[in-house]
Amino acid sequence: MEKNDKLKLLAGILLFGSLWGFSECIIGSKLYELNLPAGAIMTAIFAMGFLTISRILYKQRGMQVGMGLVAGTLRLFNPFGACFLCSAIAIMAQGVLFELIWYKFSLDLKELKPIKYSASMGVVTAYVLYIGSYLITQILTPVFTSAGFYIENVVVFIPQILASGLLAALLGFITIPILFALSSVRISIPQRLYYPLTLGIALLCWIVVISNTVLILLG
Amino acid sequence: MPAPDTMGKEKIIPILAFICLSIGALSSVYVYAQQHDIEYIQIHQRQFTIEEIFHSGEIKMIDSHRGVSLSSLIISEGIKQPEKHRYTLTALDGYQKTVQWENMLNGIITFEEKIIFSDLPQAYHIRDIRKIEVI
Repeated sequence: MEKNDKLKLLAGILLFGSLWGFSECIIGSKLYELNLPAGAIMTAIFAMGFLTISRILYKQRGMQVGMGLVAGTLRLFNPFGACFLCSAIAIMAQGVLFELIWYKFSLDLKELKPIKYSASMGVVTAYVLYIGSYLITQILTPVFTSAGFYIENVVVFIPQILASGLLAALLGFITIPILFALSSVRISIPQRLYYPLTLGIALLCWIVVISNTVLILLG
Repeated sequence: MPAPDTMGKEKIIPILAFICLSIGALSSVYVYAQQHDIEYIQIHQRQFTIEEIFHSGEIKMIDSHRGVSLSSLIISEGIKQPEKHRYTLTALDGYQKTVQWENMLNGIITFEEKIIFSDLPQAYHIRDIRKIEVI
């Protein structure tokens, strides 16, 4: 990969990671306040949406791990809504899990073009992202606290975790086919506008999230 | 024609999707069948209603939440050397967390039957608490 391509990819990681983190902080917190199934919606629509669309556009393995790190870090700047430490860990875990699930597929994803396969991939990805990140947070969050980690607390709750992933799986059934359909729409951005646009939008996401945090803390 | 390294891989995805949906559906049935509508809260070996808890324990505030101190409930149960024990808190849906005595000193149970700790993340804020075990 040439230096210019690397920089372009890095800007893409910042853009999509920031958009993902922004949606988790602002939209995810609102869904949580409204008592809606925020975890399933955020995983199957927003997280999987940004992860898949970035894989379709950039055709690069490893990018989604970077996006998870950016989005998870941004979530730490917004300590509201549901357990924000759990959310940050879950987001980072989702980036890694996505890479593992999609690793063996070709970079142009041509084998997933038929709707039967893209819908099935949506179900598998959403379910594994949801229950995988849920399990990881149940293990890692206690490690970072004074309470400590006890495996029996996770084991006894596994049926609930497996059950709660069902909604995410059902939403995933439609998310990826829609994204593949949208990816056929070509929007070309002039080369000279690529960096100002990507970095500008990413910066805007960070400013809005941090401003929201400051306003809540002052208010 | 698919590349050799990807050929046929996609055929397994619908099967995996079916397995994921089946696991989710069967787990939902299992969880639903396991749920019992328990009215009382068990603390160590005795059962209380939330009203009884509010009449017996020391009232504390954590941020805007008013509740009964968890440490006062444990002491009133006559637990000797409470700092040498661990405490497992279980919700109606089976969600459970184990904490130390130092956490219990910073925890309350609210009238809405929610456990809140000032020194632990929200993953430890347990709704519909049903049991506090001393280990």
